[in-house]
Amino acid sequence: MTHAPFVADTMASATLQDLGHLAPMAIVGLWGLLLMATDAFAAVGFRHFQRRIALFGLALAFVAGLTIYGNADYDGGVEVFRGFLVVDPFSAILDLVLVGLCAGTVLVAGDYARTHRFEYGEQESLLCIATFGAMMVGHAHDLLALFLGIETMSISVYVLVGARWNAKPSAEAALKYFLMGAFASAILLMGIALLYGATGATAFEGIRGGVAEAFTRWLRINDLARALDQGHTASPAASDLVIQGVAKAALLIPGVLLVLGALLFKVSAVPMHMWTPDAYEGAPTPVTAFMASVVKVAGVAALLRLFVATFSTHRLVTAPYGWTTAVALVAFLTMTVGNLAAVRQSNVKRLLAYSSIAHVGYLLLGVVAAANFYGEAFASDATLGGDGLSWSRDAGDTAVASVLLYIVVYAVASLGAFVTVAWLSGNKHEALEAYQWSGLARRHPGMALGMTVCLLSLMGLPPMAGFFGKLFLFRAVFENSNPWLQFLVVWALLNAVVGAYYYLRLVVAMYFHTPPKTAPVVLPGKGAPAVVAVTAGLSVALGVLMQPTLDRADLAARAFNYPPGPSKARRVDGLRAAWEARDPTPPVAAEEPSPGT
Amino acid sequence: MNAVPTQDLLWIILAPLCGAIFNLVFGRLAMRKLPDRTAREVVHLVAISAVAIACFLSFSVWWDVMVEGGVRRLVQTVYPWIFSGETMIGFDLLLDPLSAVMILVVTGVGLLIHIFSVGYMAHDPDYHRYFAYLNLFMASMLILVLGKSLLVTFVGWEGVGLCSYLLIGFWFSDEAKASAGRKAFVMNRIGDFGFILGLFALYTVVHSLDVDAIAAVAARGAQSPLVTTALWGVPVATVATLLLFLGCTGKSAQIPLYTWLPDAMAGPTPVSALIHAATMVTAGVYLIVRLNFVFALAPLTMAIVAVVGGVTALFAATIGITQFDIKKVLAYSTVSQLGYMFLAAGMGAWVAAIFHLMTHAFFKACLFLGSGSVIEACHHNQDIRTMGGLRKKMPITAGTFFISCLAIAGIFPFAGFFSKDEILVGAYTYASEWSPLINYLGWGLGTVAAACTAFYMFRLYYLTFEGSFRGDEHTWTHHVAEYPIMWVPLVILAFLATVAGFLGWPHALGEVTGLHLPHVLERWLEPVTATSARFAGPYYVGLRDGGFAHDGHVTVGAEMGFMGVSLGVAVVFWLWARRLYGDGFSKEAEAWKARLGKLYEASLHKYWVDELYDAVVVRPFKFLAKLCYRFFDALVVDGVGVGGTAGLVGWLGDVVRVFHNGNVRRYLLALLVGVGLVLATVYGNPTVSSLEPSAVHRVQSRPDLGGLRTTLGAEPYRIEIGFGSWKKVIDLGPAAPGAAGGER
Repeated sequence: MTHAPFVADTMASATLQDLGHLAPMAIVGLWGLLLMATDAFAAVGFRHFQRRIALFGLALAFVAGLTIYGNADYDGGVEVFRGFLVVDPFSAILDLVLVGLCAGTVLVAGDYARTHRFEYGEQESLLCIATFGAMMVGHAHDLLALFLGIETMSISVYVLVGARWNAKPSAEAALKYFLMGAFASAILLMGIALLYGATGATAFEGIRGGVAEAFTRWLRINDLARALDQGHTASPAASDLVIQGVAKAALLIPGVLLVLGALLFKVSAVPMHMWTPDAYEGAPTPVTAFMASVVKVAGVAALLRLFVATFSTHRLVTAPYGWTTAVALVAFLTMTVGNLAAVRQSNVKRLLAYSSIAHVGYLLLGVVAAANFYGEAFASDATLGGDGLSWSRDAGDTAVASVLLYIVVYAVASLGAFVTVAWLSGNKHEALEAYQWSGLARRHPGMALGMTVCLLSLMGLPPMAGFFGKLFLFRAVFENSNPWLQFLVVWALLNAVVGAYYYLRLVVAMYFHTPPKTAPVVLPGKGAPAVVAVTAGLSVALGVLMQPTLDRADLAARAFNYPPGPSKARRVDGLRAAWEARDPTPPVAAEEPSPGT
Repeated sequence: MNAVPTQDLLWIILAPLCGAIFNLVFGRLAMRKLPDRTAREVVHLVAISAVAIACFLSFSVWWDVMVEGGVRRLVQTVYPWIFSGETMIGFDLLLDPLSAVMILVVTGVGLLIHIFSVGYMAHDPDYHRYFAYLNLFMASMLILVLGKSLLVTFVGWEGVGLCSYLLIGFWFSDEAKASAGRKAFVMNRIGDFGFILGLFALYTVVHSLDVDAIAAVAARGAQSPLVTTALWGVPVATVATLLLFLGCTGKSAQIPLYTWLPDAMAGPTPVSALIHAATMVTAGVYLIVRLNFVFALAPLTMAIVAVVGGVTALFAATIGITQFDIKKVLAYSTVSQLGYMFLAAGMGAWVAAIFHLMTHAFFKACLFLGSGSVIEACHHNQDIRTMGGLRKKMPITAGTFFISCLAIAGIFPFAGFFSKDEILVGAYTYASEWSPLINYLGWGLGTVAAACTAFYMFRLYYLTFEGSFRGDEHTWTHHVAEYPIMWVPLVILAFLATVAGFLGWPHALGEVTGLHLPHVLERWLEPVTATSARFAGPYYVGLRDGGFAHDGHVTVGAEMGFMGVSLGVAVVFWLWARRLYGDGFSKEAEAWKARLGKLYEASLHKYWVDELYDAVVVRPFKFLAKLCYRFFDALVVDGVGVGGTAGLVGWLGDVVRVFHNGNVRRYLLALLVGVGLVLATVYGNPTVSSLEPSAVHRVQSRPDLGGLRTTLGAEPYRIEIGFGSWKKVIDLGPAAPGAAGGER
């Protein structure tokens, strides 16, 4: 973007205006600080007010998010803080989802902490700040914004994981997570530094331009060599340009791959997943729910924003230089190891942790597919002078929409499942072994039903939302003409069969086994049942009433790899127009036999 | 003309769904608060009336709209479900002659089985849950059958799988039964994996999952993009149908995924009758006939379907001969009869497949309910070695069972005779152009299996109902009896098993006897089956000429010959079974057992297929899971010993301990390995040094409905498919000299 000349007196109003665009995120951040302050004044015994204050703030943020969500003014994306962040339909969806997931956690976290005797007032504050970081990742339009968001989120989560001071595994998990996370952050920073060196920019648009330029120059080296072979002499200036291009590309590719490695750590892809089961198990269960939902959503959002939208130029995507090969391999490993390791788990928390790893494997396939499509669109634009309205770009948009849909559906069901686990820990001991879940359906039919719906959604059984998530995701990947990706879809579906096996084991335990003599004690309060009811309800409703969700995802993903601006807005408006024009009656078959005989 | 409100189709599904919801929500309450007898009455009255409404609506819409009104096709949009891009997946219901047959059979047989269940489950404490699941099953099955889009069908497909699993594991206190349910579910999921991949494969070409849209694409026959477009080097039609057929083998218990069905007999017997004999397991046959126009474009798939069907028919029949569990015999018999249906479908004899599906639903439901009656009378004993002579106390059950045996064995004039004969003649007639061998094989397998069928069914009948009682005295005097609520459905089903065959009166019999009855079912299904005949001309000679039995491929004499052979075989083996088992186990039967030796053992142990699967699939899988677990989990947990060192308190202590057990270092190592892996997959590529000019660009074209690949004007182009070090470049035209494109 062009930088407007700096004018002091308009700065304040511009900042205010930008904050207005970022209202949901700003409110959540502000509430994080506010809660810190109120905690200082809250007397012991009044800590449950913290929860109410937090929920009020999150509700405010949600309402603010609703004004942006679906607002056509944001269709083309609005850059705020001089292109540091962007507000567009994609971030609008993520804002709502993240605020909702955070509210779900807040509803349970207090009860859990009180029951387990480690209540502390900063909990709600930290949850809000972590969500603020996650939202910033969703809005990121600059590498530094991305880094800041990830760090803000991660550091809060390190504390949340270790907050259970009276239990050793919690501290251990926090320390491990912190050490590993710090290491990953270092890798991320190293990658950012290399990218800056290669492209001279940290803003996504600048990087995109720099990538294309570096490759164009690099590829000229063949022309140069041919010219030299034929006895021509190259001017020193021309050679210098080409060699600079090579040097830049030589920095660029490791930069991309290092950033990729760090982000794959954040979403816990194999083999960077080792911390996940331990951290998930050791953390207080509501925090685990938070990590499995909010943190995962943020990680996937980062992959989409940076890799799918920015690093999707043809040369960066396709072999031999492309990163998608690596991600496809990682996806293969992730779903396989995640699912197979989950089969052996008798500990419910670890089982769900491994299953969350497996889901990341499926998501990565979608990321690869989307980037491949965009790479193709980029290539055809470059060589054919296309206007960018190629089928490949549409397919890329659809793939992004599928990934978005999947991560939202997964996060909702996952939150529900982990919250049920948290709820079953009323006597300071968590009922984590599968046998303790025996006959839960007899004692608590409502909660068992909620848990079952969430598990069936994770399993991908129609008509739950998870089925449609898988259907659209795998369909988008299958549309790739690359036979290896199609094979990976086959493999992913086989993995889903394995998933059915271990999710079903829990369902079998809840419904078909006789309850143990000592009933597990459950958390007091209505928070957890409310969360499970809502998540289970959403898992059904999003499936049965798929259309609104899908429309929103399509809108968010429309022209995803376009820079913000009028041309993007035009394409999104085109989609809205198509919706209005679409015929709700089914297509009439060409050869429908006429009624009557 | 359409005198019936259009909600009818939807209400056919909603009625049982409402019943299920009622019993799930209030059933428990009723069972707890009301007196036992009243509660049970409330529960089963709600459940039965829900199915009765569905049944009534089915019959009324069939009669008023289809028969009286003459409308052969009714499409009802419940709501436009999903728009995605140019695709629309509507929650549409389709009533055409095929789904009409199915809903009539499903609701009719379903109603009778619901009524029977009142007697069979009379003392079960989870009465409400049983009926709720049964109603839920009915709703799912009706969604499956009525769905216009394959996605809607898939929703029903999964729904019936879930209900089947819930009902197999119904008596879950028994671990073996719960695990039988799980086995069924997971095996079905393997089939579903094929189903959904098949949907993807169809989608790549058709860009819709609507049956009409698929038909429109398939209508171009050999020029259809389904045939001209290749996926993995094979025409899409072949890939898609093979994958869909994998789904069918799971749902309809065919080789190689049949082993769950015999285990599924752990469920209550009415469930076996409804789900595992009459309705759900026939969903695969229904699917193939529904998509007959796609299957007709894939001769390879058709041959595989036919061979798998034929082999399954014989294989399962030979197992049925030696089993002692009354329900196991019937289960293998079901697998075998489903094999017949697939044999017919694979030969393109769609009408015969549906005909046998229908008659089988009647006589197999009757047999299962009869066996349920026997099991109830024998105090939940299922071993035929301890039965015998039950006819004296249960004459109606014995009579209906005997009629059904006649029907399944194919004795004239019972229903099975007509449908089985049509399949066998069809197997012989429908010459696929490329291998007549399949026809002889199909006919041969079918005929031998028919002999086995007659033998094991009458063996079952004689061992159960004739001779003298071999159980204990107490059971005989106090338990063996039959109840009206249980025998009324039996009589109705036996009646249907007797007369249903006349819906498919063969042409040849008409010629011979002078009784020219119309082949009602064939005429009825003509709008559905005619499509494949029109589309698939080049592949199926038999289909090109239109329907079955008036195509002149077999003469009247030949057809009578086929009938004579199958009837003769059935009668001979009936009489032989009677001689061996007419009065308990005869000495001659024992002698045969000894004579067959190893063969007998193999059949008795079901050819050790379960053991084989255990060794080849289950154990390696468990080993892999264990490997993953050991590597990524146990290693770590054991290393850390979480919670193992009690007494060590304090945060600092933990810090030290964590640092010193090498655990974090191991994790960091994994992280580095991961980053290294990412770098290695890209840099380990040998082609990275060869800096080719990027004249190569990937062109992905999308086959549109017309099957034309979009070309890039007159420019020659190349397609590059790359993955890691593997790269494939396809030149589609002369390389343009000096065409250096490249990145922007």
